[in-house]
Amino acid sequence: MNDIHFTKGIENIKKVTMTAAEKRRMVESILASRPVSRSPFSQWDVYLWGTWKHHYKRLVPVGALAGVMLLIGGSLTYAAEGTLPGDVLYPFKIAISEPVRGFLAIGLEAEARWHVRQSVRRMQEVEKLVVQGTLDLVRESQVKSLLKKHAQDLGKTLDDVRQKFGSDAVDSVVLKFQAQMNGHAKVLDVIKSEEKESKQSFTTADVAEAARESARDIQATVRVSRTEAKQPDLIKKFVEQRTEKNDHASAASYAETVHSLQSELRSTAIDLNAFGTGTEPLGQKLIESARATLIEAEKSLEQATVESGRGEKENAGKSLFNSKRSVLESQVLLGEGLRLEGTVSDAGKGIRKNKND
Amino acid sequence: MQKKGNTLQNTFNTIYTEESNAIFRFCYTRVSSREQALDLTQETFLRLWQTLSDGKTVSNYRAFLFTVARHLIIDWYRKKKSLSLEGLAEEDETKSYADPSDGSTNIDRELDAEGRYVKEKIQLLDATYRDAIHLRFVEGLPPTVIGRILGISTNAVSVRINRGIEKLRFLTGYDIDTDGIA
Repeated sequence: MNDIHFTKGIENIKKVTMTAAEKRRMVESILASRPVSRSPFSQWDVYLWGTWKHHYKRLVPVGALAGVMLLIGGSLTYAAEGTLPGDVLYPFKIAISEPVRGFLAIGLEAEARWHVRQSVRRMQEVEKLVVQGTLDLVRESQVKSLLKKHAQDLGKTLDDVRQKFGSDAVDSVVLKFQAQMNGHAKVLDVIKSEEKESKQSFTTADVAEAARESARDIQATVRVSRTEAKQPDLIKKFVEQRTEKNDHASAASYAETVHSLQSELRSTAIDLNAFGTGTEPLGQKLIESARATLIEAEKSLEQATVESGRGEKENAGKSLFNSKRSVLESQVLLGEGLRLEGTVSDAGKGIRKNKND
Repeated sequence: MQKKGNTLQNTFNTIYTEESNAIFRFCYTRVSSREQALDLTQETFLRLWQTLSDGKTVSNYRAFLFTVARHLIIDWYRKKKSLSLEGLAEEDETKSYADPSDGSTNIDRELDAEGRYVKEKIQLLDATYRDAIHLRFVEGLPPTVIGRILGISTNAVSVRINRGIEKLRFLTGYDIDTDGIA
């Protein structure tokens, strides 16, 4: 039971009402009002316009600042893209530009491909420096440490790729990576031999070998990341195919792999014939090296066919893998040969100059 | 079309007749000024009229009206106090709705001593309990409807009412029954 005073107080508050006249005026006013027509703008449009209207004095400088920063950032990224180790903007390229590009690589496989691409970029930078004759110990050390880092990143990513997509997805990346690194190591060999012919002395005793060593380190890192599959899965798959009960199907699959490889060999040979007519000695040497590597690929394929015929399944698989890798290496050498033809024309004048001397 | 319009108007008139005093009272006890309370009441019913005119359905008119009125009162205080946007939400929850009269008719002049005393003590409650106590004791709304208005569960409403009563007992010195509705 409530206190009588409380009840009375509540009852008194309840008596507070509108007068009849107030009620009538209010309802007439409400009913006379036209329903608000639907705005063609969404609440967001109104909100954004309202925000702009009330804060434009602050938003204009903020927007202008953001625009200027974007412009500066874009210009820096563009300017840094072609820089080499030792250049002023090279740290920007490594610390900001490339991580942003890596961030934009969506998916583990894309991320792994980006790490491969980063390693290739470092090798190409070394090649350019060697051609220019500007590779010193500091730059060499910088590139080597970056190569090591990229290889470690790639190893980690490939572990994730294997867990999520299986070994097949890893194989294609590893094959491409090894071919790229071996191919670029050969490029450095060729540049090195060219340098010996021209009797140009580099600041370091054997930069090409150092770069190749970095390439080997990367391969070693990848091999470490593949401890659970000591032999390349491509070989393992081939062996497994051959030992399946259904020999007919296995033979068909093997034939398909060989056919695919033969097609690649043919198309690479056509490319070599079509583009391998450069005038720069360095480019020519690289293209010659590409031809030699392609011949190695053909030999490996022939060997695989012989070994397969003998029933040496594992050896046949290894030969097939080597052939595939050699084809890719040949493609790398051809590509770099064509690219360096342009580079030599612009940047490799030192070599030509020494030759003329 | 004309028939549909008439039906709509009849529905609105019915709701208006039943709820206008309660909404007015709810506003009046918060803003104290009669003119301001009338404006807020009109705006509340105008929103209902527009909602009905748009062909939208309102499942619980009473909850709808009190919710709109409550938000309008909060908005009114925001404008009146000219506070920074950042401090508003906190301000609304902690400060009393009580507002000195701006010269127009004040609710205190319309209440007798007992009514004024109870109203003042209710106003002294924290915002958390004030609305729940008013809606329960003055308007006699069930906890389910109060929950919809305040945007909380029925259990939370019961807790607020009980705690509000405890504080009101302390403030008034009256013996107020938890279940008893005046």
